[in-house]
Amino acid sequence: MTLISLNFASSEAIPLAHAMVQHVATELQVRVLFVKGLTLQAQRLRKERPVADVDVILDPAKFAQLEQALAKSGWYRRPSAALSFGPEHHAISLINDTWPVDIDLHKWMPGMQFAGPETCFDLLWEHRVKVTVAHFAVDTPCPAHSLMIGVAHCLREHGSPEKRAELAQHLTAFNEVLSASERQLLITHAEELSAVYALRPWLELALTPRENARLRDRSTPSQREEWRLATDAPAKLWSTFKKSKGVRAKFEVLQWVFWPTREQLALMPHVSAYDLETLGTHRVRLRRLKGALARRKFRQQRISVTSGPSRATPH
Amino acid sequence: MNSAIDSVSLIGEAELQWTISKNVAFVENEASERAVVFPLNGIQEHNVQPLVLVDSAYAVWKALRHGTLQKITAQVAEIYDVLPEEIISSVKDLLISLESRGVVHTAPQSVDAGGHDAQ
Repeated sequence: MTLISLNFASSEAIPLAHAMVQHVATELQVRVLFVKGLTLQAQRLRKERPVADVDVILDPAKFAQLEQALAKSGWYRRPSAALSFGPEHHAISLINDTWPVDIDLHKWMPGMQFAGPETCFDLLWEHRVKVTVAHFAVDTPCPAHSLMIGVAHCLREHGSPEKRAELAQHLTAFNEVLSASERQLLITHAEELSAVYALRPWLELALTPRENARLRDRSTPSQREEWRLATDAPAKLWSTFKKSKGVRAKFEVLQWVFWPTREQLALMPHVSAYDLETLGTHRVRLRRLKGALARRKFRQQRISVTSGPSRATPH
Repeated sequence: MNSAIDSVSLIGEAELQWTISKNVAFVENEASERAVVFPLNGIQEHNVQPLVLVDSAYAVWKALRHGTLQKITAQVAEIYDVLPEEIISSVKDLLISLESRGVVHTAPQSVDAGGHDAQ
């Protein structure tokens, strides 16, 4: 009888990839922390839903070492549609021809890098906890830090209704899952990591007016501008356009925005090969522009959540 | 990888306890009766891939908690409504195959068979 087969699904690959990265990192003595996705759910900080990939933040000094080690097992960088210039990327995606999952290696988590990636990682590491994924113990930030990372991630992409729903779940978790000391830790470390500015729209809902008034925002004007650009794709492109040197570089930005090639579209997130095949390149371009305009309109609305208890308004 | 066979001759098969090895990650889906197991030791050197256990292989995997070859076989035989002696060699072959891949190992029954970190 045939007892063993080799095909496995994404929902199976994702927890196993967590275990694999943890094991490889432990062997190399590289510090890694799993964030978002499965570990966030394991800590009951958001509702369970299918997870898309594996997100790892690691000791920035050991980034290349872990990437090289994973390359030995067939993991390589996913080709990206991103412009080849502009700000430094905070993460890379690794793929493997036999694994139905991406592993995202993060140098830092957007919104939490302003005190310095190393400082941020060291603080996260100091408070790390273990959770079990695929019957294997993996390292993850403590619940307060995990929640902070989850919130910053949602705020960065708050142009999507899904992320706003997730922010509401994080608000519920802040009040119902975190202990009083964990809530205080989140506030203290948001200040220490200069993350108050990035987290402010959510903190205004999570904290009382008095607590909000007491928050110390240590961010500098340039850091605030960096975050604004990170959360507003059109503004970021405009900034990139202005900073591009030479007509050719400026033309490349415009072409990428308004008339990307089929090859560029194929590499973009949210554009599938099926879309390109059935709709055609031109319709996909138009749909992308329409979606960007809709997201911009949605993003301009004030962030609010419709569910979850809020401490912002005294009961 | 003949450690199981060697051990059998020394100690006696009935006394050997099969158990999941250290550093093995796995996910199980009871509804679809499958388990995907991933032995992590040596993945850097040998590019090891996860193994998907379905049907009778899944039944053997789930029966591992019963420990000895006889008890595992009895459990699987009950599920498939067959006589244990009809399947014991297939069960043993699978266990030895899994052992060669670093998924399971044997230990005398008297020894604490624990050792899988995260269970």
